[in-house]
Amino acid sequence: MNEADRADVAARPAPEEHEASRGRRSRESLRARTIRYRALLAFAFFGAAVAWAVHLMVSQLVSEWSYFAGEHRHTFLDVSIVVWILAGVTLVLLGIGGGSLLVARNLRRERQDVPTAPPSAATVRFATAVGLLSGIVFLLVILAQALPLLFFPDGT
Amino acid sequence: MTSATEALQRPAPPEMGPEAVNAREPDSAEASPAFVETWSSPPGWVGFFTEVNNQPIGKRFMATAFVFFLLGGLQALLMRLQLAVPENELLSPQFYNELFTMHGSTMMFLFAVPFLEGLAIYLLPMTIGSRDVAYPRLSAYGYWVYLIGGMVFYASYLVGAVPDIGWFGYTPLSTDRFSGISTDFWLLGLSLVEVAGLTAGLEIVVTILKFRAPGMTLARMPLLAWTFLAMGLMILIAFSVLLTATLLLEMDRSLGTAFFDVTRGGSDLLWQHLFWFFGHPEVYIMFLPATGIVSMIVPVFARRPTVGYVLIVSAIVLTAFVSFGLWVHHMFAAGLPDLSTAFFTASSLMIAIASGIQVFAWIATLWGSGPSLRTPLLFVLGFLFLFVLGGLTGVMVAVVPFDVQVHDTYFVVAHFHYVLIGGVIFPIFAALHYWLPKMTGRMLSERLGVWTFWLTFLGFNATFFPMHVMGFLGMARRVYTYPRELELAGYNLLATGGALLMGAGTLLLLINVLVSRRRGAPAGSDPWNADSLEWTIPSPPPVFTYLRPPSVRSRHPLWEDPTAASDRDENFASARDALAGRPVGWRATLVTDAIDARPQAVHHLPGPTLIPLIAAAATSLTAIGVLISAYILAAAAALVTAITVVLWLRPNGETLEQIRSSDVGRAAGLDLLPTGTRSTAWWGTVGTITIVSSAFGALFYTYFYLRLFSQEWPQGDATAPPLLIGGIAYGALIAGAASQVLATRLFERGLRRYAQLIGVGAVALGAVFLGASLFDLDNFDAAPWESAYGSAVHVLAFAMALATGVGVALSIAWQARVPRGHESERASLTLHAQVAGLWWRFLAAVGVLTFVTLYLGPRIG
Repeated sequence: MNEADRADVAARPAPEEHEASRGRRSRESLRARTIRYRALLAFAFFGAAVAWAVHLMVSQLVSEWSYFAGEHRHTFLDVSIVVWILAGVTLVLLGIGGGSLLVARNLRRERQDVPTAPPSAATVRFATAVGLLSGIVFLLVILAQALPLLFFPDGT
Repeated sequence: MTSATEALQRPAPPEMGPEAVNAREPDSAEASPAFVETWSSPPGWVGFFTEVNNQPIGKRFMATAFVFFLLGGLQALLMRLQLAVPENELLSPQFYNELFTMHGSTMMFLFAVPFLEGLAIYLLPMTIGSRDVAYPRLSAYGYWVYLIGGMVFYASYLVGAVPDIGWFGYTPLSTDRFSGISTDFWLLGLSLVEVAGLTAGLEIVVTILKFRAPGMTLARMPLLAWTFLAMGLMILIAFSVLLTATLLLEMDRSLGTAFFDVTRGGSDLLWQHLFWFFGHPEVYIMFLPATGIVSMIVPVFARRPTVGYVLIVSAIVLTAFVSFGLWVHHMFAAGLPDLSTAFFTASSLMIAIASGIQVFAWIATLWGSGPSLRTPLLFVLGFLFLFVLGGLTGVMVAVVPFDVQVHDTYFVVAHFHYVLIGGVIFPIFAALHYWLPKMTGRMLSERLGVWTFWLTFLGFNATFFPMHVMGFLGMARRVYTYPRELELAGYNLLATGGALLMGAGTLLLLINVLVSRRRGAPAGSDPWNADSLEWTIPSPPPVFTYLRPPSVRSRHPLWEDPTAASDRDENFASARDALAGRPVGWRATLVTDAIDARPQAVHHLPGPTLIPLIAAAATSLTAIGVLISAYILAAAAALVTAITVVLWLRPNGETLEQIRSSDVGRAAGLDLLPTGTRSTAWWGTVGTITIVSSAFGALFYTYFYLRLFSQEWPQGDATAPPLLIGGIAYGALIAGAASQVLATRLFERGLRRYAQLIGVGAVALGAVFLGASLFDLDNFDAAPWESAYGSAVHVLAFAMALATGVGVALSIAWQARVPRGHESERASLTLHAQVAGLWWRFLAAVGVLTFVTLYLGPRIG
């Protein structure tokens, strides 16, 4: 038994858990489960990346638009409203990105639930590993992009 | 010269060497004459012009790109001679402007990317275990368009109108107010090269996703394939943005639109945004495959698997994404808000993490391995040193205050040459030394290779390292000379000497390549004891590449131990056996699923044909017609292009019959005419939709950018287009999309008549959309040349009509085929319906966005 097989066995649920989940699964069509599983896998792989892309786009558009439209002059607690908006956007997107990491972690743990092939368990392990590793850096990039908000409270 | 058998002093690391792996496979020499004939091209010029096989097309791409590299290098040497001494009068200022424009454009557009595309087209099928690329005719078309585009570009020298606006073509310098026909040469030559790039990008992506050897899951894909996949996807997005931008600028110049004309509500900065949204990913489009080359060479010479495969793949994914979020760091001196530039400083700094991961993984692989210091590895080590230096200065210029200080100085010139020559050309030279033995069957001279390396490495550092200092001391780039008082003569003389050394290194490489073709030691199938699939086949490879499609059980197929195969490992013998030396009379390869690479179908590949050449000539003539203002010629050529594309896509009844009557599919237990996600046509449509979506994205960005910075919107006396007609038009479009999707579903379920009936509805509703939207455009009160608003609305609406026209044409063609279609054509018709359905879905999505933008947008806020 190689290392991957051992990991598979270790991650397999206890028999009673397995029975319960099998009953639950029988109520759900295979097709629906496959689609849901693949969507989750795609979210685990791309979720943080998309969160980063949205963060950058929104940050750029809002900051440039508010600057040229003069909207940055509106303040709350002496901080430009633009900064508040972007801080909120950052939190939301960090949440989405963090969610994708959680999904990736859960899919790695429950990989025997793959309804149909593809993807195989090995591919799920690989894809979730890449999703986790790259996702962590994407979250770091979002955080780094939010840092300027601390230094430009007037929103310019 | 070291012979191939002496190439390695030590055996391959695993128990199983490549010889044993080869022994498991049938010898290519066993191929039947009929099978060889099937894959061969006609002899002579006919064969030359009708060739579609990936090997000659890939080699032509690389050879042509190398010629452009030599031309670009000569231009660089001329510039360095001019700058060798202060206040030099060797070249005129105008000639110097032309030189730096042509040098930059040549190296970026005509050399680096096409060379890597050629390498991908040539090498990918061998590396991933396929017989050819996914769309052989498309790669041939791409090559001809690239060649003609490059010739159009250089034809500017023949007519004395050489582009002089820099490789970035900033407006307003590139508008018709400040530049003449030379800029049209630049724009239209560039457009053709971009079209070629897009075809190669599509080719690369679909080949990697669908043509991998059975068993080559995503987790077992060679890192080179991962980087080519990222490169292909990035090309699809970035090149279509540049193509859109160049077409908009050409429309400003030829048709009088106002996108970049500030006096009519346009914006100069818009061009910079669009250009650099392409321009920065372009750097990574070149750099990522270069890292793939490095990732292939390092483990072979370190004699151990790559350390951190998953980390490297993660870094590739990161780089591919983040590279699209850095474009504004080229515009730090353009006057953007501080907060906005700070976001891009952050993302620019963070991309260093992805590059750092790869660098540490390569070092870890080499660490303590006692690597064999052959020429390919020398270039890789040179790459590591130079790229790290270039990366560090990249981190420096990502910081706004520093960037503002060194902007437009030689510091920036030094930085990007360290990245582009160190990070791209050194790996390309490594690739030439590593894979040329596979291409030619002859080893390159090791002694000349080592000389080439040291001349290039020392010459490069002598040329570009002093430029950092020159930049600090205030030497401005893109200026034909400098005053003696700056005291930069010594640095410049050193740089010129270094450039001559680099030139000598390149010349030596050329000599090595030419001499080795006749006198080089025979390479054998695997001179390096390498680990990847291409080394299982003879050198040079047979035209069919693999007599029997290979299968894969690990990341290093030639180093794997077959006795370690577990029950879970499959070798997909039936599918592979069915294709061993077969079929005869038509070309075929295995199609596998995109994720786990399980065999799905046997795919028919086209043979030699003139269609790609005719289509490329017609496409190029369209651009040339615009260039010389012969618009009737351009329109006629566009029509010929469209007709050729129809002929290209039209299913050939004879071929279909040949495929159906073959027993290969039965023997393999696979479909011969796959539909849906098992077919390459489905993936090609998705790729095309990605390209067109990206182009629409650029148009939406243009519209909103102009709106954002306009004092009034709609501009001037214009009003928003009437809601009622727009509602009718776009409502019809969405209903049409629903009809075509429903027709596809019905046809898939065998309800042919109902499908046909509903499909007619799609055509009719598409026609309603075209009529209503064109009527609306005709009555629109802002002409395209009156204001940027008028330009943006017209172009977006026209693009929408064009895309819908394609959808309607697809549906009409399907309708025309269904009544005649025999039951045996069911698979082909189903696929046709699925392609039309995909396209109409896209039309509905982009239609909603266009309606909101054009009709609702001006009424909100």
